[in-house]
Amino acid sequence: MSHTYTAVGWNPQKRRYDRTLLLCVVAALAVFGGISFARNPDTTAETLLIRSLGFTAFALLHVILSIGPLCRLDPRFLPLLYNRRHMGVTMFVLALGHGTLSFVLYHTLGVVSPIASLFGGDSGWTGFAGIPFQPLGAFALAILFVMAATSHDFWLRNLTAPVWKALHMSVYVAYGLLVLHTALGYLQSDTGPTAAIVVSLGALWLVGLHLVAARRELRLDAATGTRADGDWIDVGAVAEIPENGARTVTVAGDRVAVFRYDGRISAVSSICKHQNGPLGEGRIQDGCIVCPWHGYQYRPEDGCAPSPFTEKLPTFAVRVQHGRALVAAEPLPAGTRVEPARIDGDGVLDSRDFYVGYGAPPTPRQSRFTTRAVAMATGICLLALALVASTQRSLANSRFEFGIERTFTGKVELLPYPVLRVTRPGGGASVWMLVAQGKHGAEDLVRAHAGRAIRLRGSLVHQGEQTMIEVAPDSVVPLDAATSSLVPPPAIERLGRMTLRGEIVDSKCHLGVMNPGERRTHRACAKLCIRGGIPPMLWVEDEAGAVRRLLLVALDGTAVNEQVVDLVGDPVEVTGDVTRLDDILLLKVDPATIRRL
Amino acid sequence: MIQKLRRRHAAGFLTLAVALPVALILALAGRRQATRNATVPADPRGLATFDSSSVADIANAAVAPSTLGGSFVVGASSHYLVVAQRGEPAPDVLAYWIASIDAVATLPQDARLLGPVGSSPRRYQRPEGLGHVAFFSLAHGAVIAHALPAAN
Repeated sequence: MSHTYTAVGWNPQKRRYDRTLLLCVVAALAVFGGISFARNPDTTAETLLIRSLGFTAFALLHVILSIGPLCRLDPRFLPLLYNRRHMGVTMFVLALGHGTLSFVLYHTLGVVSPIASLFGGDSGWTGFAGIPFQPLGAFALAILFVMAATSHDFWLRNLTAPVWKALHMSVYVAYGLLVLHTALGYLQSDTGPTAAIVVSLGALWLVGLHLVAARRELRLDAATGTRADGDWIDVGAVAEIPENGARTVTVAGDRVAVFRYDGRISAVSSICKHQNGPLGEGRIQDGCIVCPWHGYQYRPEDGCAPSPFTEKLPTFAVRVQHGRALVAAEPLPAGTRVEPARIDGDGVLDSRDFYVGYGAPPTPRQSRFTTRAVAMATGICLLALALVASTQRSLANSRFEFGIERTFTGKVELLPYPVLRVTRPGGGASVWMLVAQGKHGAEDLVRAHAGRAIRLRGSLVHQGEQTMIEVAPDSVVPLDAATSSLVPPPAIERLGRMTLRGEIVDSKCHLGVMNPGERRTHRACAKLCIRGGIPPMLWVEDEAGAVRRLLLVALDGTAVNEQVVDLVGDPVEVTGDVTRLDDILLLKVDPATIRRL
Repeated sequence: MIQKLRRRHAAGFLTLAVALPVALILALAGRRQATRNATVPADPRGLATFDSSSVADIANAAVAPSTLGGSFVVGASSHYLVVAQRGEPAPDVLAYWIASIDAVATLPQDARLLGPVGSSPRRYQRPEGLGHVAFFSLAHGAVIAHALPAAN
């Protein structure tokens, strides 16, 4: 307890707690990241980080939310509760890293404001499984932020324990949002159900645990003492109250802790002023009641915290009659001194011994239990993370040479999307798509040079046999007509009318700037890219897994970006005329006929 | 106050107990299914695709490590060369037939274009005489691997 505010009241137990926590978090990140990398070595570092941070934070949230009910069911878990707020802040930091990276990667550098993209970029969804999952995560992160920001005792004291507690109960809303965020996000990217099943099992555990603990609390409340004499309530035989411990009864809906110590009986409200901890489960040390949660102290006879602290509990009149403890039905104002009732005879029972990071050191048995509990929680979390990581879908073999600029020479054509046709030594030409930095097309950079040779600098993006250049600003240099004439005329072959099923993707992310750069998880980003002029492509696959990517062009040869932007990320059926131009495929289509499957 | 909070807590988790299973079942039931096609357009770079799934099936296949990581595989028969890329991707790789490998970083003037190289094996007519297969990344402007195919 403190009466002045310091950032963290460090002690050896907190340091040990935080070291263990840090170790477990690092292990979780390493397991998820390591397995993900081994499974998909071509995934981008950002994707690896986003997923590792997100799933580790989610696993940690399960641990955090399990500790409370476990302590209600078995006080031996109390050491885990002692510094739980550090665990909560750690979880928030992980979630913030996940959220910030996702926000920057998927929603910035586009033609729409990042906030509008986050909350409106994934509009036009169909079905429950298509609900935009990113806003759910953003709402949950906002709740977690409020909780992390108000986790310090400063806020607890100024908001008061009931308000603070009510505020922090919004973590359950955040949890519900995060279950949906995680399950929907995964299911919108991967067709396998493993992650959704793991998330369901986690939710089943947590909800079940809380309901069991709530049921136990209700039963405890139902065990109210019987009225013995007017406004007095019979708490039970004095001999049944452990020495230096308490018996808790419910009086008028609130719990009263009746303590026995030094041959006397005192009764105070069982609700700690700090975080509503169960004082009745605490014990008397050095003449003071000590809360089992965080060590707040109160004098049993007047419910006041020892000077210089100012917390006060309501007290209750007590008396002992025929070996039974009686407590008044009405509480006295907080801090009212009540003369303790004297006990005749003894019959002392052993008090429960537990370790909460202060006071007496833990017994070897308690230490073993705590160690086993931490090891088991860590093991279960690592197993769940390993399972999710190892069942992620395989990602494409792609590259984005970020930060590496090369010089390229070729002829600019507008198909209508800008491409660079490059002469192959020995005959023919390769076609490389051109895009600008961020989520923008390169038309503005090269339109003036259409049909002519240029030299430019840029970074390569490539997947399979398709190549793209992210053009560096102000790097385009027009070349003479002689150089243009060296590029052979395009080889055009009409392949006929076809109906194809696949997904419309933004070519830049899909070819390697993001990996994965497709499916609904990437939809908001793809919409920004396509709105910004990145060429839209139809990504199709045959039964044997052979992949083709076709640039989508309107029947009149114009770009279709605006017409297809709401269809990206979903399975679609497209009918149109397929043309081969050098080494790329074009699909001429009436956008109005594209059908979402 | 604590009773009120406790009731709110129980009600919250009862809501989650009902809502989450329903939501998860709906999400699982409505999850995306794979979309495949019976046929897709011919590979625009695949002038002569080879119908085997692995070049390693070809006797005497040579493996050429790439300077970008990964490797290229060259299978050879008396009339054909089968080439494919393995591992690390490389941008716009073309296979050339070259007489010698004296200058491996740049493409010799007399290099003869065989055709594009990809992860799917491709078959090309084997030029007459002795020579090497050079793998040239047009986008990097450099020879990134070379192999000596098995003799006829």
